[in-house]
Amino acid sequence: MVIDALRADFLFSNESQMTFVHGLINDGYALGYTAYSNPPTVTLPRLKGITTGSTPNFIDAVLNIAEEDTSSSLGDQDSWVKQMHASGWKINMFGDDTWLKLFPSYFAKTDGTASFYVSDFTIVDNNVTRHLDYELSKEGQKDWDCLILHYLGLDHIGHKGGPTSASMPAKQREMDSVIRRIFKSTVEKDENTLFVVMGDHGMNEVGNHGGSSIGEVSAGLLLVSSKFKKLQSGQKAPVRRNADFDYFDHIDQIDLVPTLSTLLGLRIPINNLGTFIQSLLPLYSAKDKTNVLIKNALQLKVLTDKSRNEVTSLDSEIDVSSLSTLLDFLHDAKGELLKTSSDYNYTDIFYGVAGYAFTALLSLALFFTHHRDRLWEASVDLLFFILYAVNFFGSSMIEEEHHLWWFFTTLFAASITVKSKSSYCTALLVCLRLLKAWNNSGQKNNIKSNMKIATYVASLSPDIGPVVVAFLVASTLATYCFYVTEGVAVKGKGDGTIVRFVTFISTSLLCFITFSTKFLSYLSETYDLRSGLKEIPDWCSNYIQWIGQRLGTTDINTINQQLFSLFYKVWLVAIALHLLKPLFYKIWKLPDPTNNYTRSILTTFSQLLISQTNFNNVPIFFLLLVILVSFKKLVPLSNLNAISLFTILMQNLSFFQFGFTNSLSSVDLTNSFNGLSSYNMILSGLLTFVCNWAAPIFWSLAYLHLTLKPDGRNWDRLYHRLLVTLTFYSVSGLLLILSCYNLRFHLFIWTVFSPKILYFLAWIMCGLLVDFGLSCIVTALYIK
Amino acid sequence: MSSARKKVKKTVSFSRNSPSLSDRNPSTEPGSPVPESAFDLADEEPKLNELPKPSPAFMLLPFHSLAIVYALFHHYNISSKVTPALNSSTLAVLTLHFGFGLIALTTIKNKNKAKRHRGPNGGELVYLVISSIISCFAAIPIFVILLVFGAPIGSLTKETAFLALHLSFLTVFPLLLVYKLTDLDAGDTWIRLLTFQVPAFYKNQVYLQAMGSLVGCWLGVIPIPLDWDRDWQQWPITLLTGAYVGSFAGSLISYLYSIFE
Repeated sequence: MVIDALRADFLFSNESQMTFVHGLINDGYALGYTAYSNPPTVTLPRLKGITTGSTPNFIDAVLNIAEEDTSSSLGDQDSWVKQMHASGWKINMFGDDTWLKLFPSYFAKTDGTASFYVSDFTIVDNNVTRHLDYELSKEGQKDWDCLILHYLGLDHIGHKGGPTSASMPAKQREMDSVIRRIFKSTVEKDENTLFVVMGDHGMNEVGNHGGSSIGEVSAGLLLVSSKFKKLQSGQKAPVRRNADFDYFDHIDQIDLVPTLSTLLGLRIPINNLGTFIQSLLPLYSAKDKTNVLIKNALQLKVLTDKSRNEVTSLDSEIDVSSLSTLLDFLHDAKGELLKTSSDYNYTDIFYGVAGYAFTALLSLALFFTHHRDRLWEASVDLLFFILYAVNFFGSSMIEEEHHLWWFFTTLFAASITVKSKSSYCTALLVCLRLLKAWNNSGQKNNIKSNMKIATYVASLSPDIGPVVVAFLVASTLATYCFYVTEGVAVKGKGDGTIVRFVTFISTSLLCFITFSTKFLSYLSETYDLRSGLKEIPDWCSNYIQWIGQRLGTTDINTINQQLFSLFYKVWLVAIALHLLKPLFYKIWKLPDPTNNYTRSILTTFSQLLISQTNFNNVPIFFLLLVILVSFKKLVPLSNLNAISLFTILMQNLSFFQFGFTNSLSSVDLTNSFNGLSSYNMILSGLLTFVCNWAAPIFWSLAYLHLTLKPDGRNWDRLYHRLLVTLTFYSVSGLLLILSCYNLRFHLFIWTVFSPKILYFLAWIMCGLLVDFGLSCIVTALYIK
Repeated sequence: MSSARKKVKKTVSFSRNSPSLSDRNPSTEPGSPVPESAFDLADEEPKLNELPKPSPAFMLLPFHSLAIVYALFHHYNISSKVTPALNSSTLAVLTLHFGFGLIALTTIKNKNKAKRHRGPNGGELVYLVISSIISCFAAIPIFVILLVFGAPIGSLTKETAFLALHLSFLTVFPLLLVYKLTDLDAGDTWIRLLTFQVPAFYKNQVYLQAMGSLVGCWLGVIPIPLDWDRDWQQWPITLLTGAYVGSFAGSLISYLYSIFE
């Protein structure tokens, strides 16, 4: 039984609700372990590790998201699932459909649940539990030899509300009762049954996973069998909660593979790097002990021989009759294999680097040709690019990249404000500081030393919390509403009023829907609404009921879904009208066709971005708007280089200040399914992208808002920024690739540098496709 | 015209050494072509008069800065316990600053008068005390500025406040010794000082000392995010060290410049 994201403390600590598990441990039926799961701590690579015993390829972390892909299949690789199948076992599998993707043909009976629809906590697990009635019954038990269950609800709660979410204790109790059921009907009745409860990975302090922080790699593992009573392990649960996730023995998660194979009498999968769990050795007689270890050692020996390119016999290296030498050998072989298990294809790497270097040279040539009259400016830009990119050679600078952007941005802000006496300077600097304080991004020390406004707001008491959140979200949206109408009126003509009115109404409608979705998601994530509306103030429950009556439903998820599909419809119409406005004006020969074109585009797009942003981060858009307006007042249009640089700086700074980092664990999936009723790879991929790259998209449009002017030089100005951006990414990307190549045997290559490369690819996607494409479309439709 | 132009450019180029230095601020080199840039206000600005300044002297070098850094690390053991060290060192640090003020004031007076050596009189002592008090209060706006530029508050408010106090005594206090509030044009002078409009700043030893401490403090943040796991990487040790070393370096540069000119 795999419980997704079951961190060790959820099973064993004194704050855990799994009291039955504690009882099992105290009675000696169960052995608890803290199992180290190798990064990337994402479900697909972890399942590969748990079944084959090997360390994962990094590409699996990406394939984990691309659900429809089949190249991640494990059909040919050796695993204990394959061994069971080969021995004629019947395997039933219920739960996460990642298993079905890994082993398409081994299961006798299956029911897969999609793992990415994270806003659902209950149905996804009920779909697994409903099979237990039959499978655990007398006749049901005859039909299987191995039953695999994979529960996803706990992981979903983590993604939505973190490890301390209001729904967490209830979910732990639910899992505990499932464990009780399985124990009572199988383990207790048959002493030859082995029951494994485990998490495939843990979660960090905010409930995400993918990286290598201690919480993410410390998964819980529980082995249950009547036979373990013999061991007299003396483990006592619960253990006091501790920050180091130190619960019982520490093992590697891949150790489960040889252990399981040995205990069940199967062959050890050939690619396994794990070693037999030492504390289970006393189960065997003295002679069998050595046999168990020799079996494991011989299997590992094949792999070490392969990596050393020489074949020797095990007897010639060590004394196989001594337990301790065998254990030492296993330990050393595992360490050696874990280190050398990476394999590089140098030809492909060489072509990649050469291609990238060519692009970088090309963009540099274009960049300097374009700046031939302003070489000084160009070299300062280049200096900044290189200063930024050399930081890729240090792992801590990648983990803490937001510091770099903060440093460069304040430097830049100081340089434009120091000579100016305008009060906009203060607004700019203060808003930048608030932007930083909102999430205090970063992978280390970010919780210890800094206050986060977002966390503070989210943790306010029920009396005041909803009011503050409603006020913050509403005032942010209202600011956009009024920003779009300011100056819409066309002087001297009567139609100005109509335009103003229509724009205001459509924007307000969008704002209202956005407000409702964000506020409802705040309420449902902070309070337990399923057990009634008692926890929240009256006006909130009235509000929910009012919306519910309008939409004819009471379920909060359905309400949100319907609101989102309404939002998309209204938004698509609004953005189409705004984009085509100059064209209509020109056709009907109305005055000033381009009036407030970019302003309404920016505002309407911001509505989409806000609707895809976590409610915590919505007020950041207010700060972004103030920063944009202040910057507009401080820097004249003629200083194009400053505006282009500012765009790059703000794109990156605000990306990080939304709470994202260069770790895979900070990818936000909570808004990927807004308004979708089923899994759709393209749409949810797009929504995930918008939700994570909202700030860069905002600033890309903001550049147009700053520079699109009716003087016919718009394409020149756009070209300037795109060239600066292209040069920036090609220069820094080249250095990043070189750094990764140089450090390919570095300890952190899979945990720090590889995620950075994946992020960088996503940045290029953002830069080249969305940013460039969107800018070109908006500029092309700017018709005078 | 060309000489006047050159002088004005140097005014602008000053900002290169200030904390406001821009990674892309153009026109920092005399003789470089003037780019189209909003930052380049040089052409519109009237020529500024040089501020009166004491001629650089060996005695004006802030040796106490180095002494304070040494004492913080080796006597107060700041890297293992930050706040207690800052707490217990405050009195000694302020005394050292006061002592530097005394020396500086005497040096400036004797240089200016160029007469026989005299000690400070009662009025000057009172002025020193008042300057110290003003510097203490100037720590409050400096704290706000530090905050705006990203200093942490919350569990680290106290450390940031101490940093502001130290910075105030490194910047405001020495400047108060030269540009007295009792001077006739004190208002204009201080506005120019605070907006970094000081021509020929590299000849102005006390001003460069203050600027050096700001630059040092600014650059002091760099080691903090590195994963060396040393205890001296804690906030605000690197910034303090940077500020003190920077103040000495700034003063030294100005002094050496005056010797080799």
